[in-house]
Parts: sequence; C-alpha cells; structure tokens
Amino acid sequence: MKKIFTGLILLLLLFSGCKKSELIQLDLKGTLKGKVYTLDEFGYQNSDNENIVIQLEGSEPLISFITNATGTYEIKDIPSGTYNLIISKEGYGGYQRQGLQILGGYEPLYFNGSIIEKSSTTIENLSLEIINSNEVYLKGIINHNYIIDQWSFRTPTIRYFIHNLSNPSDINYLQTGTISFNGDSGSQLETRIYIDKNHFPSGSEIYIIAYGCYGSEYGYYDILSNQYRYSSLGTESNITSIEIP
Amino acid sequence: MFKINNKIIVFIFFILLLNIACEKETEYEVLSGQLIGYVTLFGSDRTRLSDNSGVEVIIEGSNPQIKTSTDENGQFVIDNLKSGIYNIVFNKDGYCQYKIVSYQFVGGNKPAIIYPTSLYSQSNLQIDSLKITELESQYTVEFIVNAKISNQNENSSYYCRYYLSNEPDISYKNYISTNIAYNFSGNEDLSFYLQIDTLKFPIGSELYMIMYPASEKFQYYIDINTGNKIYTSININKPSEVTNITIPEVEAPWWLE
Repeated sequence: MKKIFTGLILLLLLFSGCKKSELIQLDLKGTLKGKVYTLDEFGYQNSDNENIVIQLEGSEPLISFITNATGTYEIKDIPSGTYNLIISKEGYGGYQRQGLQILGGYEPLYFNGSIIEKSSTTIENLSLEIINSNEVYLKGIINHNYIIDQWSFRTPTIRYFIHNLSNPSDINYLQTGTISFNGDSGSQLETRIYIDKNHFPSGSEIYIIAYGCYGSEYGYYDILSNQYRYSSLGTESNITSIEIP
Repeated sequence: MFKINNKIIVFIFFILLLNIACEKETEYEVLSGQLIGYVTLFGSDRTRLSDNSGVEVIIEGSNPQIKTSTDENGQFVIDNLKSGIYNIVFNKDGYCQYKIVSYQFVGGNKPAIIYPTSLYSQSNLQIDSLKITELESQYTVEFIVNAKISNQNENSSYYCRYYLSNEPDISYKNYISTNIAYNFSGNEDLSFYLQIDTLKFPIGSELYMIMYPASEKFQYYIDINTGNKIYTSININKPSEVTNITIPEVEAPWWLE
C-alpha cells in the first residue's frame, strides 16, 4: 500500500511544477466607417451613391456592405487583421485600398473613398510612326462625349500602355502616360510621345494599347505588382507595334 | 481494505494547495501575416537604377531577428511576421542607411505593404574647408558661410547639409538646427548667408557648425531617444571639420528701443 501512495505522491509532485500555461487567443474587433461616393466620367460628383459595394477581401466569411443613397457605411465587429478594401459598382472603375491594417478597438477606423465611371471615350485605328529613337507619333481617331469649346477645361483623355511583349494592357506594361485631346468627337489625334530608352532600347519592338480615361489620374496602388492601377479606363483600342530604330 | 494514513492525506492536500497557489502563465496567441515592401535605389546622378537588388532589410524588434534582401524589382517579402511594432532598417554598401521607425504591423490574411522607399547612393563630395565669417548687419545676426568642395562629377549640382549647435561635440545626431545648402552650378565654392535665431543661439555664446555632403534634401527619420530628426541621405563618413564663431552683439532695432 505504501508503495502505491508514494507513487501517487510522486505523480502529484510531478504535475505540481509551476509550468501552468494557458493559451489565450486575442480576438480584438474593430469598426470601419466612412463615406464613399461616385463620380461620373467627367469627374462631377453624383448625388446618388446607392448600391456601392464595399468588400473586405481577406475576411472569412467575406464581409461586405452595400450603401444607401448617402454613401455612408459602417462595418462593425471586424476581426483584427490585414484586408484589401474593395469599393465597386456596376459600370464604375473599381477602387482598392490594399493591405489595410485594422487593429481593432472601441473607436472606428475612418476611411473615405470614391469611384469613377468608366470613360466612354474610345480610340479607333491606333497607329505609331517613328520620329527618332526617342520619340514616336501616336495617331488615332477619338470618339467622345465631351463638349469642346473655348471654355472647356475638362477634355477627353486617353491613357496608353507600352510593353515589349505583344499583349500590353492596363495590368501588363512597362511605360504609361496620358494624352489630352481637344478636338471634336470623331476627329484625328496626332501627338508625339517620348519612349523610355531604359525599357525600349534601339532595335526593340514596342507594343502599345490605349484606353479612354478621366483627365486626372484616378486609381490605386497594387501591392503585388508594385504598379498603379488606373480605374477610369474605358474600352481598349487595337494593339499596334513598331520597331525602335 | 487498507487504512489511510492521516499524514499522507495531509501531504496530498498540501501538494494540491501548492498546485492551486501556483501562478498561471498566460500566453497570448497573436496574429501573424505577410509583409511586402519595395525599395528604389537612386544612383550618384540622382536617377533611379533599374537593378534594385541586394538591399538588406532588417526587422528590428523581431526575435529571432528577421533579415532578408530585395530582388531586382526592389521587392522584399517577409512571411509569418507576428503582429507588433517594429523598426525596419535598409542597408546597402555605398548607400545611405534608412530606417522606418515604429511600424505597426497587424497581420492577417492579406499582405501589408511598405510603400516604395528610396535609398540614395552616398555622395562622394569632399568638404575640404568650412569657414564662417561675420557679416556687418543691422539688427540681425548674420554670417556668411564659405566651403571649399571637391566635386568629382564636374559641373553637376550638389547638396550639403549643415548642422548648428552651441556645443563642440556636434554631429548629425546631436544638433540644434539644420538646413540644406546647395550649389546648382556645380562650382567648387559653396557660399551662403546664415541668419541666426538669437533665441536658440544667444549673443555672446559660441556657435558650432559641421557640414556633410548630401545626396538629397528631405529624407529623415525620428530618433525616438532624442526626438531629433536624423537626416539619412548625408554621407556620415565624410563630415567637414567643426568650425565655430562667437555670436556678436548687434544693435537692437530702433522700434524695440
């Protein structure tokens, strides 16, 4: 009997070491709040901000919110974490705030944003013509819905993307730039553009595509590509190419 | 049946008590996640380089300390970083060190971002001499500063950053005020006027000055121990000599008499 008791005591002693540890999972929660609104393709603010969708990519299940006409939103009980905030609406270019860190707490994190209607400006018959090894002419026919007069300060604009691969696009480019146009809809555009020699040395083939866009830069920073994403872009033009002399 | 010894029962209870009294250690499970950042290198001619690789990135405050380096695009990725506050240090041979102080990292399912950070090639200017001369001036304390500069890139503009203090052990870490001086013609002589705030440098006190070659004007971080701005794009290995002058007495403005 004594042996059993001694054994029991030894066992108890073994478990009595001061190594009681307890794992507590922190579940901080936070609130995200703010106002979002839409702009039309000319950059004028719309009064109706209904049905703008706000999503927190990275949440499981996906947290989303749909605004009413005022455009205000409030999302409660977001577990602390890092999210991509996505603002979208049918017919509008998306906006993202990637890598949004929400620590949580009692006061809301305030975040305002806006999205812009996709441009209706289009480019037909996009073509290039060599001037020298640093510059090319960019030509095309521009169709747009702007009113061009001597007072207009909002002008139709196109954004071009250049790559040395045959599939340039708004997410696959080495050089980009904008050209503003002050001709009537359906008229010819002819402008000089500078070619970045670091990316496109002599003898290389360049491929270009263009989209109608809003006059001011509108978009967001994309983490994985370290590039800016332009969100007011409309329909794409044809792709054309030329060899740099 | 066996007889239970009283002594044994007391002993068992004693051990149980010991167990209860024992303080519990609590561990908190924190979030972890991915951190992505970019570094842009600027060469000696102050233009962007196309190869941004080989920048050492140190996460100060991580245990064990996390170290990584950038790829050609300047990208660095840190996986499984625990949530917390860190300092992020950027080093590359021949470049000025930069530091992001008190970066708060939450962690979670999506990567957090360190927006492109610039790292500047160290200036190869040599400040051969530095001299302050008193300038005859009414009502205000003014000096003229003359420096002789050896500029290897002839005719290219350059920057220098000067620091002022009232103590002789002046450096880029220990100073009262600082500003940038520049020469856009690339000329060897750098000279500029210096107006002194007599609240910071009272009349009769000694003014000390040191100058460093700089690659750029603005980049700094805050030294959290002193609260001073540490300007990062200077070449700390090439300081000028320390020069000093006594703040002269000036005539009080007539409107204050």
